[in-house]
Amino acid sequence: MNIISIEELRKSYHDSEVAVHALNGINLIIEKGEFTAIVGSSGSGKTTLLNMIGGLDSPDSGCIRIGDVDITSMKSHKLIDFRLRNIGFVFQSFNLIPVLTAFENVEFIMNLQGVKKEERRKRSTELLDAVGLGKRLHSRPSKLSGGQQQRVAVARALASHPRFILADEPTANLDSVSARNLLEIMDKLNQDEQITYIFSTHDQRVVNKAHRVIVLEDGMVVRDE
Amino acid sequence: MDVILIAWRNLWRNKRRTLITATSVFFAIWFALIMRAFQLGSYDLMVNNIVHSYSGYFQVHARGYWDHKLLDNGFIYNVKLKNALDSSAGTYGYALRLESFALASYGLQTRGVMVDGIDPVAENRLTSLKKKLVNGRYLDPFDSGALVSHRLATHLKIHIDDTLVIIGQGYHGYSAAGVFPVRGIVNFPSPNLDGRLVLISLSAARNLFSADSMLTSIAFNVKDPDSYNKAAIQLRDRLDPGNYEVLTWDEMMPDVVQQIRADSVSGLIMLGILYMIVGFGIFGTMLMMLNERSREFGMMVAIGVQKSKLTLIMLAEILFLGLLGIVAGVVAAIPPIYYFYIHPITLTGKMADSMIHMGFEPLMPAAWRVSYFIAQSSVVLAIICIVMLLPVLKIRKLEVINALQH
Ligand SMILES: Nc1ncnc2c1ncn2[C@@H]1O[C@H](COP(=O)(O)OP(=O)(O)OP(=O)(O)O)[C@@H](O)[C@H]1O
Ligand SMILES: [Mg+2]
Repeated sequence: MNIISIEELRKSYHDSEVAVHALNGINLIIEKGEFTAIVGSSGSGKTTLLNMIGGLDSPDSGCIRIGDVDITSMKSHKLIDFRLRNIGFVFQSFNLIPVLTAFENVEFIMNLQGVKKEERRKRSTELLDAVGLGKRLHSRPSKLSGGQQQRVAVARALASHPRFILADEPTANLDSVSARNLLEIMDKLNQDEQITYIFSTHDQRVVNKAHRVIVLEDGMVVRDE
Repeated sequence: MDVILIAWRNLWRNKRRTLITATSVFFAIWFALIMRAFQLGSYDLMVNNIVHSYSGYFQVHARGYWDHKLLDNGFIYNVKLKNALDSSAGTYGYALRLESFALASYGLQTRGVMVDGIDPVAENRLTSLKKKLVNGRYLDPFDSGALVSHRLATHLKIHIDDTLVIIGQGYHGYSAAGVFPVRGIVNFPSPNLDGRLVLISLSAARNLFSADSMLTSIAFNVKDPDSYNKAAIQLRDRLDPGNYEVLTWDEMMPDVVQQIRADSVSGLIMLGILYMIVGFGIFGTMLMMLNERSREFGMMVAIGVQKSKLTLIMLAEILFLGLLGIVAGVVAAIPPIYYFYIHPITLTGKMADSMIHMGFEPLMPAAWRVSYFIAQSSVVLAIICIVMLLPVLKIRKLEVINALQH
């Protein structure tokens, strides 16, 4: 089943003298349950592509369909709501609301979705347990290590029952142990709950875990296996 | 609920900055309230002094009397007029007067004086005249003697039981002459009054000036000092405007009103400057809060927080900050203001002398009114509302991509 289908996606920046074609006609189909890595050298367009899929940025041309919805033509506040209900995000850093505890950060997103209190509590605890933070529920992000913060972010991304999770270099700021730990958790959740992941990375160990690797170069897909 | 919780916790992310900003609001409003309380208090005192030393809250004269204060511009006090006065709402007693100028002499001294024929009982009720008595006794209702103001008595070298001679012109050119044993000496704070006032009973004055059943003015007290205007207007409606004028104290003494207004404006300008400084303080804090959080805002909008909700969080935050300062400031201002309302500061030295010279008690009371507490708080709230535009605009323009990259 297709979750995401991308057709002829293009985006260029004209900040400098020469136009930069960050995305140069991308065609992709992502299916449910995939664990996909997007790799490529710096500046190849990974972040740009993920931002487009996440509805954070809009393309110059082409279309992105999530399920049967074309998100490129959506109005801003509709799109925000769409993201809330369909997409989980894990950023490289600064993922969490600093004044909320780990538990509250996870609960927060369900609160936005209007999930009932008992249900929120239960799921927050379960997810934080699943990412190995059952004992740190009430710590604020500043009291957690980088790896722990990223795991809270994964728990939060999962909390909203999204169709897929986008992660732009989720391990970039982590040491190798934390990185492996995070990957194992993501991998396990992928296996157990059929969670679809799309992430970009430079990290070879992360790439090795992926079931599908898409290689970008100059805004084009050069390999997909 | 989220909004309140996050806003409240955000406030304490930078404790020191929050406290500094809230403290600046606190001091501004505290200082403004106290300053204004003394300012308004001194106006109240001034007005009170004027009203209760002589003028009353308003007066009835024959039409044109106030511009030409002549006996010939007096009026007949008849039953019809008395009924109109008695049935007018909002008043609290009135004092009948017959006034004119004359010469007073004793021994070798002669002075121009103002002879004031009064109803001793009613006059005392309005102006507490009895309290000003420093020597001798007060007048009886049909007394044939006189009260002489202190400075005048000194000039004339006259004492209790001496006989004062008064010579002048009566109604319609009759000559007026009389002798009045001095019953008492009264002391007026204002040197202007104190140097030239002779008080006699109304009946004695009517005899002296051949002005039977006549008056030159009627001075009124009111039940509620804040609505003397209403009472005056009501009475004005009852009286024939062709024959009578009803003038409030501020209409009779426009220069005093002018003086108060000028002073009040200068006070308000100072408050304006104070509030402007506070406004910029809050503005700066808001600006910092917004700038250092743009990445966080980007993340929140990315994961699905509507901008309206984000804006609400920021508004709640700035509102908390402001309210913290306002509430603390108001609460801290209440005790000193109330204290100085009950126990006015007694002035001494030059300041006191000049107040006495102008005819006022040398006191500095604080005004105690809910209205200016509300007014000052509202001004600060209004400033905060203006500062609120900042997050509203900033968050509306926020682009997730740019914010995330910051
Ligand atoms: N906001 C922007 N303004 C101008 N150019 C941009 C902007 N964002 C990206 N680019 C350019 O688009 C191209 C693709 O950038 P992108 O960030 O997608 O690369 P990336 O593959 O994520 O790189 P990295 O591995 O370094 O994160 C780059 O050449 C970059 O300079
Ligand atoms: Mg990137």
